[in-house]
Amino acid sequence: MATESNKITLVSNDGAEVVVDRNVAERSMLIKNMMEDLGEAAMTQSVPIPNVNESVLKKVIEWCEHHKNDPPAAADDDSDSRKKTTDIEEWDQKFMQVDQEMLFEIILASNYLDIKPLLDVGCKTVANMIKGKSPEEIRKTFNITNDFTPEEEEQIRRENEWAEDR
Amino acid sequence: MASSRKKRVANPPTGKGTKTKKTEPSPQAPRSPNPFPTKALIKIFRNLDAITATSFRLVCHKFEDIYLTHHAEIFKHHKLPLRLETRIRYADDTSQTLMACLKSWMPKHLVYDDFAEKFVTVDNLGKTFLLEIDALDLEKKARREWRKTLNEEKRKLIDEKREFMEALDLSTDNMDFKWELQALGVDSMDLEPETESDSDEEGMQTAFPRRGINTIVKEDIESQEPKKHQHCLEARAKQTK
Repeated sequence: MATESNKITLVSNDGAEVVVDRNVAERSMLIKNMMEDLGEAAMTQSVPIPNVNESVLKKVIEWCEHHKNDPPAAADDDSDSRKKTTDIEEWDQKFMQVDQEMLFEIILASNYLDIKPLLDVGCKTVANMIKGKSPEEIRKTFNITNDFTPEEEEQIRRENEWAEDR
Repeated sequence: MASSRKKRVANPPTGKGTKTKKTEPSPQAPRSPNPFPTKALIKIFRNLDAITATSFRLVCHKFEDIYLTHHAEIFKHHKLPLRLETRIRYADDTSQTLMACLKSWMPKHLVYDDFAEKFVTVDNLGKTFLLEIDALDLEKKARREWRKTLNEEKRKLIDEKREFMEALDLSTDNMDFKWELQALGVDSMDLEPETESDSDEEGMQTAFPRRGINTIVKEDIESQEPKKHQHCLEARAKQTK
């Protein structure tokens, strides 16, 4: 529950309450829309964040605090966002120096909370992690199972003219 | 839209208000087999270079599906399919080829053939190179045959002209071969060297232009020769008249 004016209380899925400035929380489009829908009630009522646990929520809020004064992101300009992955801000790079588990949690949370710039940073960090890696190395990095059959892989090789298996 | 958002707010999870109470592990905890939501995967693809994106698509079906849906956008700066020799240079001055990236993805019985620029079975390793060599030999043989034919033609024309001049009691010391040269399409009535050396090759290309070792086939040579013979015959017929 909010204790001061212009502060709101977020509740993580493990029941932890986190009090945060409204303008910080509103970096999340999901929360911003909730606030608009709830109106004044939002200031007196806790806002549940059912898909995010306490540690991740605090980490996400840390990012939102740092970027609270950033200009709002332009409309989805992904079509032209093929920039080099090295252009992550220095602060963001340090922020993303977390274990892999936390990195995935941040990506999922930013996706759920609709914080596009944070999702971008998370995805760029993942892109940097796998740069130049083979499919097997990527699977190992993210603990992903290969669900292709040998026949399907052969078909891909044939279609791309990468191999002559005859 | 607004009502659905309100609904979510109106149904808070149990345990609300217990500040430090940990009930269950995060529902996000199990990561395998695929930790990423589709939206994030698309963003990751967009931030990858062409080689890593190719490698990334081969990880699992979900990645492949996203690649297939968005590949036109992901690879808009690249010509598809990517060749194995495609090289990407990274900002840290390292570089990577698609071949190196996919080497471990290829079945163990395939090896990389530099000449063919693809992975092949051990039995087929070097086969493309040998085929090229065969094609080169074929071309050399064709050039040899062509020289031989040309020389025979020149000798014949020279002999005929000499006989003609002698029959008319004219000197054969400085015979004019203007007609014959034109008919044969050559610059000189000197005989071509029988054996081929590297220096000959260039000269021969003017008389018998090389069209690439892959495209030279016997039929091409045969289809040219009758035309040359036709010119000779026409020239001789006119001379006799």
